[in-house]
Amino acid sequence: MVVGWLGLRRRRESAPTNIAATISQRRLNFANGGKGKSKPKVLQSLSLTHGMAHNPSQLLPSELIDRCIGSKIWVIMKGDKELVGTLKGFDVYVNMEQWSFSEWYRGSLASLRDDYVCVERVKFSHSFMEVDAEITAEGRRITKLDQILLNGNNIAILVPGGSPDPE
Amino acid sequence: MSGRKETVLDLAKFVDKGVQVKLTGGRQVTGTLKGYDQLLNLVLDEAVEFLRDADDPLKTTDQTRQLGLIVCRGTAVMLVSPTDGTDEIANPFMQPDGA
Repeated sequence: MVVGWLGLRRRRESAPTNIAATISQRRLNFANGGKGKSKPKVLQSLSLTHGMAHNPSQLLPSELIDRCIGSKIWVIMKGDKELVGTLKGFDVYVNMEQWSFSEWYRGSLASLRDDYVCVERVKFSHSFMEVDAEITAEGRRITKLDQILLNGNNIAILVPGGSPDPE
Repeated sequence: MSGRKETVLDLAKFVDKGVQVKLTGGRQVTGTLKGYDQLLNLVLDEAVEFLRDADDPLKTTDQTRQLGLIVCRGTAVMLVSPTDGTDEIANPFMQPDGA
């Protein structure tokens, strides 16, 4: 139910400083945020990835994104929209109740109709991403957004650290 | 533990090799496959996106842009093919003058 939401909220408050702290903090929060419910799905999925026995040295997508929390990320959508912002968090599965989000989600994404979006802080999941607005780039229509939750359905590419370079 | 984890596409043989990835929505990317998971999320290094014609988004142009290290979302991946040994040829079934 609201379990996932609580988890995300807490992570946001924790303003992490370094990456290692971010990751452990994130796991901690998920562990605490579970409110006695069954094991949080993110933890399950992270341990699931250890099952990729045949090539342990390879770089897992979820790990890469996990390491990106707290730093800049460039999100390229399936269409022609792109977002830049700071990743605040993500989940691997849709482990939150969608209805409890949907109102806010619709409200804050209304300005996403523009071609190009620059954001300052992003909270992101396979299902949702939350962003804080700022900055600009050139040549394209840019919408500054405050924090948003982004639905992961339409994400095509994630570029850690990268921001679009207008040549 | 047995059959469930088996994937139809064994990407292990593409690791550290160049791959071309087509995504839903028409984006097209090449890069070196660095990692993947069961959901077909891919990690590509030194990725290059082929930009599309502004007038005709179905056409890819020669223009590219460097993306660097990226994650392709599995839900958006339509096609993964190795760049080695793959070449694009003209459509052999195309009628010469649209007859």
